[in-house]
Order: sequence, then C-alpha cells, then structure tokens
Amino acid sequence: MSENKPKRLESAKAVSAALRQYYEDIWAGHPLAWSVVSSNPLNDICRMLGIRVAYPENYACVCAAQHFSEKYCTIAEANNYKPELCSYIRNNFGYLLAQDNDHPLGGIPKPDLLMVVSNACLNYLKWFDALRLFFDKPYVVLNTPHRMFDYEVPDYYIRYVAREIEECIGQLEKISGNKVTDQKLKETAHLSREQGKYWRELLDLNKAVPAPMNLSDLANLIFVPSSLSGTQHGVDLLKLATAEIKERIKKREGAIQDERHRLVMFNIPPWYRLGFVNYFAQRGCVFPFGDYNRYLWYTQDFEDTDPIEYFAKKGLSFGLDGGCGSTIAETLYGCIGDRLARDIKEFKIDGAVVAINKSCKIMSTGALDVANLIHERFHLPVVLIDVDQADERTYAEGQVQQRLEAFFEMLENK
Amino acid sequence: MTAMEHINQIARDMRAYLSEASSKSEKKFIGVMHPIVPQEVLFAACLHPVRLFPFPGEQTNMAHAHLHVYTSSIFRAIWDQVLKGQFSFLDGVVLPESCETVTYFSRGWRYHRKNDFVATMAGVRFNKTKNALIFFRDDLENLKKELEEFTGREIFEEALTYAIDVYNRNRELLGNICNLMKQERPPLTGVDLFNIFMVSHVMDKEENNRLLEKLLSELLDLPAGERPKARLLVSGPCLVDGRIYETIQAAGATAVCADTNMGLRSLAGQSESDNDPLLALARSYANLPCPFSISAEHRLSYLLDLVQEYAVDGVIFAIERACEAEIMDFPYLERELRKKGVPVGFVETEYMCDMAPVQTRIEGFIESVMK
Repeated sequence: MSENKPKRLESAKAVSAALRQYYEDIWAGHPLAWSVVSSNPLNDICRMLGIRVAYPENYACVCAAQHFSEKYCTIAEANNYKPELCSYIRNNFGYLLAQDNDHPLGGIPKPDLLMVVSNACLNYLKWFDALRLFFDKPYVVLNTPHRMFDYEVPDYYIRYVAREIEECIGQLEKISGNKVTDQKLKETAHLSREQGKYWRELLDLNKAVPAPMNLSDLANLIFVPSSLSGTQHGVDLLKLATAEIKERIKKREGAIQDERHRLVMFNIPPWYRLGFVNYFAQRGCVFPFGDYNRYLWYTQDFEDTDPIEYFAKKGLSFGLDGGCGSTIAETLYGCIGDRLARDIKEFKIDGAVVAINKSCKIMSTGALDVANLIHERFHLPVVLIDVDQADERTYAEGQVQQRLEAFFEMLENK
Repeated sequence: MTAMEHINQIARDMRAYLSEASSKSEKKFIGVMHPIVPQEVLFAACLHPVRLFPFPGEQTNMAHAHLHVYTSSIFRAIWDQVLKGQFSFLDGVVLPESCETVTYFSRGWRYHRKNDFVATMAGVRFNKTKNALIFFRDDLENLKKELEEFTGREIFEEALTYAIDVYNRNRELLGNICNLMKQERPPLTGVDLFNIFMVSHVMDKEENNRLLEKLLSELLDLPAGERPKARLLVSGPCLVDGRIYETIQAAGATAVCADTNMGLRSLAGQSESDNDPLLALARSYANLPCPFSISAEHRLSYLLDLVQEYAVDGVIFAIERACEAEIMDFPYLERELRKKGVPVGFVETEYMCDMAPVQTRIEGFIESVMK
C-alpha cells in the first residue's frame, strides 16, 4: 500500500479561511437567519438586505467532522427526536438541547428568523417548522415544487415561484428594515450566474488525467456555491481555484501521486470519516467527480436579465440539461440516462462507490438502480456501502473495509 | 346481507374484490397514492380511482432490488406487489409530491415500467397564498390534460362539477358515520370504521354512496354499542394495517377516530361550489391536515379539536418508521398534547410488522388511560 496522500490545493487554504471567516461573521451582527444550503435564492437575497445567514445543515457536517455527532444525536434522541430522523436534524436539535458550551467552532448564534426552501429535501420545511416553534421567530418559506416528470419545467412553475420570491422579499425587507433595489438584484443574480459558470468549468477540468482534484477538494470547494452564492468573494474563490487547477493540468500534476483508478462516488460522504478518501488514495484511486457535487449545484446556465425569473429558476434548480440537473430529488433518475453515460466516458471512470445513506432518502432512492446500471451497462465494478452522513455511531468500520477490500480486488483484476 | 357485513366481506379480500370489479367494469382503474390527489378529476375522466395500499400478508422481497430498506415499507410493499403482478387490474397510477419515497421514486416507476401510465402532481406546502392556489389549480389543469391524453376524451366542466358532487356526498356520508362515533356508546367498532374507510377507497364512489346510505339507515336501527373502556384517537400516515385497530378493540378500547391518510384526512377535500371547479378543488385539497402540507402547529389545533369532539381519552401515534414528516412533528405534538392533559402513546409501525411489541405498548397505554 503506497503512501499516496492527496495533495491539498493551495486555493483550499483560501476556502478554509473563508469558511472560518464566515463562522466569525455570523456572530458579528443582526438580523441572523438560519437557512438551508440547497439552491436557495433567499440566501442571495438576504445578503443584499444585510441579513446574515447561518446554515445548521453545514454546521451539522462540521459537528460530524469534529466527532460531536455521537453526543448531539444521543441528546436529540433522549428528547424524542427518533433515530429514524435525518442525522443533520438530530445533530441540530442535540446541539440546541446540549447543556454545556463545548461546541465546534464555538457554535452558531441563535437565529432572528428561519428561512427555508423546499426544493431539495422534503423535510426541510418540517425541520424548520420545528425550529420556528422552538425559537418562536418569523418563518419565511419558499415553496419550490419538485418536478417529478421528464419534460421541461412548465411556465406556470416559474410564474408561481417568481411570485412567491416577491412575497418572500417583502417579508425579508420588513424584517431587515432595508430595501432590495433593482440594481442590487441584477448584480446578485449575475454574480450567482457567474459562480455557476466557474463551478461547472472547475468540475469539467477534472476530466484531465491525472485528475487535479479529489473528492475531498470538491467537498471543500462546495462551501462556495452552497454558502457564498451571489457574492463577488465566491466568484473570486472559484476563479482562484480554477486558475490553480489549470496550472496543475499544465504540469500534469494529479491530486494523488500514483493515479491508477478513477472512481465516481454516489451520495453524501460520511463527514466524520473524511480520511475515507485517503484510504482510496492509498490504493491509487481518485474520485474525479461525485453526484453530490456534479449533479446538484449550478448544473446549468440560464439567463439573468430578469433577476426574479433567474432566482425562480435557481430555486427550481432547473430544467433537464441533458437528462440531469433538476432538484436533488430527481438527481439519480435524472442522471441515469445519457448524462451519466457521457460523464463515465469523459471522466474515464473505471469503478463506482455507491453509498446508501439512512439519513438521506433523496440521495439514496435510486442508488440501487444506479449501481445495477453501472455494473450491467458499463461493466464496471461497483461497491455498495451503508453509511450515514452525520451519525458516526452507525458507521461499521470493519464491514465497510471488508467490502472495500473486495472492491479493490475487482478493480485490480478488471 | 347487511351493509356492514358487505363492507367487512370486501375488506377481507380487497384484491379479489378489485380484480372482480375491474373485470366487470368498463372503466380503467387508476391507483392513487396519498389523499392529496383530487380523485374527482379522474372520476370526471370516466376512470375508476383506487387508493394505493399494499395487500396484507405478503413478504416484501423483489422490491428490495430497487428500494433500500430505509424507504417507506408501505410503498416498498406496493412496489413489490406491482412487480409481482398483483396490481394487474390497474391501468396506471397518479403519484403526488408527498411522502419522500413516493416523490423520489416517481421517476423510478417510469424507469422500470416504461409502458405504465404514470401521472404526477406537485404539492402546495405550508404557504396557502392566493398565488399558491393558482399554481395548484394550474397543476390540476396539467393533470387533467394528462388524463385527457391517456383516455383520449375531453373532461368537460359539467363532468367535473358532477364528480365534485359525488365525492362531496361520499365525504358527507363518511362524515355522518364518523359523527356516530362521537356517541358515548358508539354503534361501530374501530375495526368497522377502518373497514368502512378502506372499502370507500377502492369502491366506485357512486356505488359506495349507495352502500353508505344503506349502512347509515341500518345503523340508526341498531342498539347502542358497548361503552368502551377507553376512547382513542389514532394518528399516523398511511396506516393500512387493520391489526392496530383489532389490538385496540381486543383490549376493550375503541379507536373512535383516525387522523390518518386512510381515515379522516381523506375527508378534507369537501369543495365549495365555484365557477372554476379546478380552483374549488385546489382550495379544498390545499388544506389537507397531513404533515407534508401543514405545520405542526396547525396539526395540533386540528388534533385538539378532534380530541374534544370525539371525547377522546388518549392519542396513539402509530407512525411508519420511514415517515420523517410525521416523526418530525411528533416531539412537538406529544409535548403540547400532554401540556393540555391529553395522554399520548407512540408505536412504530411498518408494513406487516411484528405485532407483539406493538400490542404490548398499546395494551399498556390503554391500561393507563382506562376510566
């Protein structure tokens, strides 16, 4: 087994600094909204109004990565939040109900308002409804219906979400005491669109052999589209990363030293085992892409001349884009056609790791079909593993390793 | 045969009933998941809508190739039985944005069964603004078009208005039967009530209306039933397992009302007349008291009303373990109901789950609330 440790991107330092700064800034003033990280136009709009935004979902990842999830999930369960609930939600309520002040990054401040969009997880609305009842604070809801069909999003979807965004803006203006100007709205929509362009370019650059980025780099960079969307700072960070990646490609410098296998990862990584990627790297395996970063965020470009319509499309996250790229709920069956075939070919993928994640039914429903498809149609080795995104107690190290060892053997014998 | 005997006979073997009914009917049968789908639109399209639920007593195995074990066991069992050809009497399905598994697997259904007619429908969650109702109405218009393409016939406004009347009558009759359960000595058991609702979900609505009218007239002649040791409200999602109600009954209590997707929540679509029948449907269905559609706070006030109306001694939450929307509301509902002095019990259910632990919990709860 070689050392083959992934080489960290220089631009990752800037992203990490931005993340630390972000957590410092949310303590710096009011009003503070708690929100969800999915393709959420309300986050972009809040920044125009001087409303700071914190993400309990992101924070749950931080808690898991710093091994606080056992403590928080246990506290939540003792307070009747059942183990079947998503571990992000249990982490969040465990954090809120914990009696001590020992929290990762010093915790996140209590919200002045709760803000949610329904485009991704169906339980976002329920989670934030529970938070509203917990804090007794204003609740701003943007309903963005899931597209469950295979045709383009009809106009009445866009009209509906655009009008709802206008209603939400009215509520947010009232809470903040500030006004959204047309100019600012246009600028923010444009910056959001620009970020999308850089994000897609960045992901496409990883088609290079050797792959300049690994899954851990992508997991780190995803902080930008998820938390800094619609900001110049976000655009600058992605520009910086893109330039560095181009340089790596020019020098034929890979994310790992001895790249022998290129894998695709399906589902959210177990945040408490980020060394998971290193374990693969030691076997010469790199992940040029995963469905979580490629098929969820900024999957397609659309016009920003009418910013409200742009944000509505962003909230609906959006059309088919060659068989993919709509709301998270549609990801797996959305990509299962030509899009996945193209990506497997262009990224030169020779194996897949498919995780079944108890906490995320969206990312897991369809996973078995994806695994079968990759195996039967593309004749590639596939390994299925059971992991929970943020409940460390459920991780069966021995079982996962056994499965992976068998998978590595398949890869070598392919 | 009395109406109740007829209902119980159908309820004993729903699959046999549906197979026979479809072979005799000229209508196509369409499976409908969840009460949020306005079946009136299907009825107006000369289709026979049937609420989708798994037939009891089957092992789920084939579905596990497509749906992992953390998805809804109810939907997995339905899918399993679809794969095994046990829903061969169906000509298609309508799957709404509702439970996670249904929403996320709707495209999976199409992926595996390309020749099935699969219509979908979006939901209007939480914010029932005027704009939201217009969207819901537009989405019903979209559903109507899909049904028109499928059947090859136009759905006229008169047909929709007629369908609304038929369904409103059905809800009225079921509502009248539920009202009888408010009596100190209810004339029906909780098991009877469950069967009445389940049969109403599969039977042609006009035929069902005639049967319910007969049932109501027979119930008026019946002597009062026994006074139950405890009057319970059962709350949960797609609670399709009659053994829960049998267990309650066997312990001497009665489930006098069911805040479930198969129970009272199905009565929420009573539509007011409107020049635009689709808007009338949108308005009434948007307020379905299901956790996907409304906040926990609204559910609490709905439950407290039921507790009072039905003079309930306690509430049992019987929640399918994969139904996160219900599980998410539970801590708040339990806490607030207890604050109001309403005893609360909890049982975790799954399709064909082992009843021994469920029975122990239910019996323990009944003993604690018995008068």
